[in-house]
Amino acid sequence: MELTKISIALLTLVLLISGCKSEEPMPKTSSATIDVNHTVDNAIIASGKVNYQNTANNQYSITRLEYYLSNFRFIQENGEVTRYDQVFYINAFDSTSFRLFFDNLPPARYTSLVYNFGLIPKQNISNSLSNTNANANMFWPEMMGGGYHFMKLEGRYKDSIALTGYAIHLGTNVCTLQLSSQIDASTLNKPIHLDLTMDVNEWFTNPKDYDFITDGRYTMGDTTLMTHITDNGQTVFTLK
Amino acid sequence: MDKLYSRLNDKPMNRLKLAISFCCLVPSLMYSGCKEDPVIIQSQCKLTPLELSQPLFYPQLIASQQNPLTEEGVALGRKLYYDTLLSKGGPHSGKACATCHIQSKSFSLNTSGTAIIPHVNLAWKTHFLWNGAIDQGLEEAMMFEVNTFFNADVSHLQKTKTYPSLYLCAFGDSIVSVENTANALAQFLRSMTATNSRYDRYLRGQGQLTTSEKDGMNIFLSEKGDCFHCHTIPLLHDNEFHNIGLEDEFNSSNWGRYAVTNDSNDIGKFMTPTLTNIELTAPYMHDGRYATLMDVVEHYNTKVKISNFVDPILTKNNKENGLQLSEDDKQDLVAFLKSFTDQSFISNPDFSAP
Repeated sequence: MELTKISIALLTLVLLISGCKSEEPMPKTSSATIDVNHTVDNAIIASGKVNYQNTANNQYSITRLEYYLSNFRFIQENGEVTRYDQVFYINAFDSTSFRLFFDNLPPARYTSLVYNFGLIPKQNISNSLSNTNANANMFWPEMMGGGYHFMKLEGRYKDSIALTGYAIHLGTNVCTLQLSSQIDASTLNKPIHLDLTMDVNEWFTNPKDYDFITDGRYTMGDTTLMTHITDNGQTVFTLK
Repeated sequence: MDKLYSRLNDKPMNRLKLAISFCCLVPSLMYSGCKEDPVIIQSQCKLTPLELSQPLFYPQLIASQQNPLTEEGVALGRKLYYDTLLSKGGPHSGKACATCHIQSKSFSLNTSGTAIIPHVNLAWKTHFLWNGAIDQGLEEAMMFEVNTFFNADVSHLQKTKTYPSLYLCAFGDSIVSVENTANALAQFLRSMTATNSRYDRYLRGQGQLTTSEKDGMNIFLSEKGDCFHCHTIPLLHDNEFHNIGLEDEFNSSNWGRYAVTNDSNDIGKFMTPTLTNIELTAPYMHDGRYATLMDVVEHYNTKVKISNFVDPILTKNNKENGLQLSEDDKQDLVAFLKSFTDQSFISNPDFSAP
């Protein structure tokens, strides 16, 4: 009898031990990936075809779209901020530039993402970015303010005669543009993945329509035109 | 000999020893009788890695993992560059690379017709040929030159007394191959950098420009001239292709980049050439149509032909009829272009005939 009791106790102990799963330690860091894509009215952009029409009824094509995103801040529900100083160069016709990666993100639940289109002033200084061919091509002359182009958006539009080129170039700190989105993403179980979409048509509207014919087809150096486009920037990106 | 033979018959073990000795002796005699020229073995040729300096403000040099720079590889490439043996028996027999790429002309040639692309700062180029058909690096470009342009018969190099050992030293293989010939030339070309022009020194705060040159710089780097959009600082090109309005009608003779990509956006586009040493490398444009720098400036000033394919940069508001520069503006701009000349490059003995 005594032996039976001992056996039962031992058996119970064994069952208890085997049933207690050891908790995996909390990961110290996680990561986030943002995939960027470019659309006009929900269609992925294609180079060169005069397929697009903005709210000003300009029929236009896109032959070049390059820009920077920077200063990403992942904000937790408790308000804690994880900041990345990295500057991302994106070429809408080079898919190798579409993936933005953020390492060493603390595990938490994140409720908002704040970032900059273009560069923040302390980064927008000539030769401050790494000396890549892409960054060299984005340089903004010192005598025009220095730093870098925030965006080059080029193509052609139909005017009454033929196709005419346009070049929407944004730069200098007058084009500083901070954007934010609400997110609901947690790194507690797996890394975060988000999709960031630029709708090119939104550069030409919301709150104010931009017309190549009446406003101008070339913005570089024209503060009024650059500000016009930048002010439309709040609705250009959506995040999912 | 009879005594030896009788001793063999008497003692079987001695016969065995003698047989073994004979077998060892004969090959030794044969080997010592057939002496060849001494062969340089790899362990006697220690490769010397060559690291190029990274000039301030310049993008990262484009290196080749498969063909790293060594002093031996560069030296071999330099020797080949100046050797007419490369073209022997081919369509350009009697010519070397240096026949059409002259150092005093920044390794180009003042000729009419198709402009010869200067061999300068190719370490930063991503595409080669005016339509960019070659885009896998200098090695691929040199394979084209060796295989296609020269149609080189490398056996002529193999037969020489010097090249096999140079190839063995540079690449560990005394067999002269087309690939290693291209690799050696690529190494030499990659080493040919010009980053010490007066403008380069001005950028680094090490020199000054004249008043006229500064006025020209202000035109170059502003909306007035707008040169910087394609001729970016400091490379003075953007590794891209543009239609700059040389023509307004297009056919197979001037498709440009379109002939490679079959993308209608690329009709009439040609590679942006570097402006490094530009005052030395006339004529200008892909077809050599302009004889002087002033002719080039005048093209942008009044002669851009508008079409559905011309670069959008050239059709901005109020510039529909060109840049509208004054005569003084044009002179200043040309003066600034001449500040891109690197005198040390065109006189550097490291790039001259060995």
